[in-house]
Amino acid sequence: MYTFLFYLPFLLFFVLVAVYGERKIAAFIQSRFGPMDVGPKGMFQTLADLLKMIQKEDIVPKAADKPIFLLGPILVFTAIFAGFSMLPLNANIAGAAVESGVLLLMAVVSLDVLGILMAGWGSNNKFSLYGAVRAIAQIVSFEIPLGLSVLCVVMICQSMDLQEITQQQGLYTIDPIFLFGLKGMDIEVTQMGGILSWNVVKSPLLLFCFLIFFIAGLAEANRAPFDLPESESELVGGYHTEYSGFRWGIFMLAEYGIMLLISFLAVILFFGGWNTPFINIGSFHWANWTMGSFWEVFWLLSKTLILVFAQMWVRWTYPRLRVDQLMTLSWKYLTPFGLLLVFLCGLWKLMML
Amino acid sequence: MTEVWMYFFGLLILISGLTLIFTENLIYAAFLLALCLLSIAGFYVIYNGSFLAVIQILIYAGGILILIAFGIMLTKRSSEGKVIVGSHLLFFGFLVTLGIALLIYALVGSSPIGPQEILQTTGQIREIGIRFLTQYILAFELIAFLLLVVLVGASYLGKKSQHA
Repeated sequence: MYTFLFYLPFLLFFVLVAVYGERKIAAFIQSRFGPMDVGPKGMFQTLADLLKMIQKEDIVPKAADKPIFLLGPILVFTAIFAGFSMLPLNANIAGAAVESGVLLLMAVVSLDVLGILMAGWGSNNKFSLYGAVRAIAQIVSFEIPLGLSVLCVVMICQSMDLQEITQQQGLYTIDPIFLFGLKGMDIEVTQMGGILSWNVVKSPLLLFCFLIFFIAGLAEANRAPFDLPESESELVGGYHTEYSGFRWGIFMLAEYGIMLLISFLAVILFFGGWNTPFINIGSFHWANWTMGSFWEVFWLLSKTLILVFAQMWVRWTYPRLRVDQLMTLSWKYLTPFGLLLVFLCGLWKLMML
Repeated sequence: MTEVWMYFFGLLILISGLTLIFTENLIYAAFLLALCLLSIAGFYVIYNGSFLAVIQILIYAGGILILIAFGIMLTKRSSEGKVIVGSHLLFFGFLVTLGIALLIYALVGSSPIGPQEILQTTGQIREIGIRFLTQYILAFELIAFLLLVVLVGASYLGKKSQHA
């Protein structure tokens, strides 16, 4: 219940590191140096940027719709941070005890669309409005494949509570776990734990679900190759064109926040949450040795950060899609494949029973 | 404690609802509607329907409201830069409101619903799922069929206007 005491400082610290990390990763991928001057290897560049950003004047355009303009960024961040309340931290510290956890998470996070709309409309700027319309169209369409891939996991786990889903993927499970979930093969791996009881191994079809989840998650976070809402070459800055100083900073905070949230959710749903990847083999109880309050937090965070790295990697590798290509991807490829996977996961669940 | 929350959400619904009716700025009205719908979700939580609250946020605040907002954004702004609405059909509006108010009054008077401490937090979803596929299967399937028809109809209309 008190997980936000951890997640709020962690999110703020993460943004500081991630902005620097992203610039360094981008530089590495594009054979440049990235930030170099401030501190050793440019490490304090983000702090310097932050200092500059806080000092900037808080400008509200004269023709803007003031209350909506001011409320927009706050609502975006609130909606996204509310999603963190459902996340568990380790075996003992669960998030909010909501039975329909993952559903509520998706519902709350989808409210950030309202904030984006406020920002885009309130700015009284054509570029902002275009950016907002694109963002909303994109988020609303990609929520369907995202929801379908989450539905596959919920069907396999028979639960929507994130803590319960995580418990099923490790040594603390109540039901016995069979290799690849196939009861007919009769190879029980309950005591081995580790990677063998993660959802992607327990029912290998979920690996494809994860691909859909990852792609839709990128679109949900408005990140390249789906960063149409803020495509610099066409729309200046999208829905946050008119914002300056700290208000712009809140949008950045929200963008990195949703990246982190999507990664957390992917780790919990597909890659065992706070469970260790190591397996008990014979007298080497690797899994038992690497479990415990501290270890569990470590596994959750490290797996999540690897996924965040993958998101950055994708961003600097692929070119941006066109609007029609984006919609084609969502409606003609991801959604039908998602539906097919829901059907196949249902069949797999029948074999697991 | 539950009663404090009930009055809080009730007040929120009342204020946002009244402002929503009396404001002339259409985009404000849309956002106030969002506040109103979210407060109703809070009411569902107090009345021990947490799953219904989640669905309320997902469908109404997250889905329908976006459609409304989209509709407003695609309409033309007036010369002052705002979308202004006026009041029309006051008589019929008053009549319909009176009817609904009487209906709600009659319902509230005859049923024992009221705020309560949350009795049961687990097993709700399982119960709802089982009821949908046994007791209420006909209604469930009919709604599914209706949605399919709407989907096909919408895509047909979309295609037709493209070729015209």
